[in-house]
Amino acid sequence: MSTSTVTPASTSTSGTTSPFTPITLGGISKYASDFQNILNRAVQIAQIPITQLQNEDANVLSEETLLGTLNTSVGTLATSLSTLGTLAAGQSLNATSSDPTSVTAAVTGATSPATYTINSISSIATAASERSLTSYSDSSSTSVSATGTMQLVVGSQKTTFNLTTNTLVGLRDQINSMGAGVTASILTTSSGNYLSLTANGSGATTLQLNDDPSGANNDILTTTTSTVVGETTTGLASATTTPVSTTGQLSLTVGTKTYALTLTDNSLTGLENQINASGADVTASIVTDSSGNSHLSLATNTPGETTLSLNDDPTGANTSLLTNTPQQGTNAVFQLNGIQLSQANNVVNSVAPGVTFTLEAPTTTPVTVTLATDPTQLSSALQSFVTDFNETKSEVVAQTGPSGGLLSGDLAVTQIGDMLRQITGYSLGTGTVQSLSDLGITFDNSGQLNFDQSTFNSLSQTQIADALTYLGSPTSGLGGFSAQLTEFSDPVTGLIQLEQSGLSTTDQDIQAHITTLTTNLTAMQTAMSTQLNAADAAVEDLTNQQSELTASLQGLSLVLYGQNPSTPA
Amino acid sequence: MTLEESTQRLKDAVDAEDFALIAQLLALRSAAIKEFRHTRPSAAAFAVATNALKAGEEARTKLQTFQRRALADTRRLSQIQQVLSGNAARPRRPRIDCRG
Repeated sequence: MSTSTVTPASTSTSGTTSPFTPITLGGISKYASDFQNILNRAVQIAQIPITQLQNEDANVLSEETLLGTLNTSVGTLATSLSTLGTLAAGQSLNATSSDPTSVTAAVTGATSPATYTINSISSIATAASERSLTSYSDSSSTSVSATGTMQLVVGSQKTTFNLTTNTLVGLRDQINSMGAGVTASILTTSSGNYLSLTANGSGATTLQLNDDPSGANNDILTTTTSTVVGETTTGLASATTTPVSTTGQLSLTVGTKTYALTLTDNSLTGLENQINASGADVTASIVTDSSGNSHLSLATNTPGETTLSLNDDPTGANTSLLTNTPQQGTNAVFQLNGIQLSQANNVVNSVAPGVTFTLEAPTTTPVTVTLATDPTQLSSALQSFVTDFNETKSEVVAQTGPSGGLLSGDLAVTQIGDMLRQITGYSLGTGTVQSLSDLGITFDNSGQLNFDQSTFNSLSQTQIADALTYLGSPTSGLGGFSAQLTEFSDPVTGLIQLEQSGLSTTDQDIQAHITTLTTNLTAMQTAMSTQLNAADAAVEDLTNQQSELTASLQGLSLVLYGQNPSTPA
Repeated sequence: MTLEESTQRLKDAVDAEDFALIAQLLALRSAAIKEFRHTRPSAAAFAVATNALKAGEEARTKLQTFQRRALADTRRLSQIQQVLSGNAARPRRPRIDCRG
């Protein structure tokens, strides 16, 4: 009798972890070691197809990953070509502003050069923003309303409501839940808690919060951050010749400061210049109304509550020239190519087709926005195209030929390779730019492209125009290849995606097969183990019994015949 | 069950490779051997013991034959699997042409 010392079959074959757990026999007969060897061998043999399937599955997953990488680079190349086509179709226009601090502009589809003049930006759009007139010592307990009924006025929309919780916190939360186009918040200062209300959009609007609307109707808000604006009530026919003052003497008051002005040029323009040179914390500008009359507009430079007045003949009639317009928030007011415009926000995208202006600051100086062909945009796009092309080319080459990778012979790889050759060989046949080399793009023996910036920079205006024709659009010319590449890289219908889906299905099939084989193997091992354990025990028992019988037979032989029997064969 | 009977049935069970029955009959034969020790010595008893010993050896030989056959089976299976492993083709990569 001996105890088995043979170890169970390994769970790892060819570096692949097996899902199968081997069984250790507990045999005690002298044959136990043989039984364990038999079991181990059977298990290892049965694991061969599983290991093979696991290796196949690893290849499938690698192919899927390679296709994913290729899909990304092909998609990027398609985007580069589409960008080139879009630029060419739009004449590679770029918008430049003569004063970007006042107006910025962007081309949003324009296809022809143009020039726009924006002037008299008397104001830019700001959002109405106010805070409560008084502070509240405790935002969670101090009452904010005398009656618990309040009315919120935003523009023409009036909303009367009863406070559920008559505190600053309750008021804030209730306003924010109304969807009234304003956002309420609480400002905590050393002097107490204030309610702050800010309109969600810019533009001139009314903003009030009235307590006890049917009784005292007190507006508990005060303008805090809006610029105080005043405008002369009387429009003058001419800003340069019509006198603005009866005596040439005026007084300007901003807050607590008063400035005496003696006009050297008794006109709106003269007054504007003199105010702006006075050092007062205001900016004067001239605006033209719809009747063509000119007005002087004054706006405080520092937001906040203040007084603003401009009086003619202060020692005599002392006539106020301004009407204060303490509207909460302001509209953008400006002229575009001589057309007077006023709108609630600073983005102007519905007046000039294909170009969007953004008003940044008021100005009285005309700002010129020019849309013109910008070769640097083309140059940058061509460099991106070359980089993206080379990336795709490298991936295709790595999967092509005798030393190609797992995707060697793959249909998509082959067709993409053909497409890349068509791109590099694309020729228009007319004009001064007929091929990529005319743009400074050449390719080496390995098929990689190189972009020569100096060759491109030396192109004449005519050649740039022909280059735009050569590049075409996203659907024609060189740019038209973007659509063909997208047929490969489309994330839903692209050929690469279809191949990936097929590989994914194969992967799932292999995994299912491995699971089945593993189940079968486990069952086989269990059955064989049971059988061999039983055989081992039977041999052990039988051997013991034979020994007992031999002893009995020897005893009988001695008693009956006086000798030991010969040992049976 | 007598020693002769249990031994004969044990041989049959080994032939059938019915290991559950083999285990039962081994227990019965063990009891029969113990019983046989108290049998009065006689020529008949000597013959019974001789036959039982011979039949037991035949059963053990058959069990060893089972071992050898199992080993031969696994070797044969090994050869089949290796042939399959060497000739197995990689799964075909999907060939889809959406332009068709």
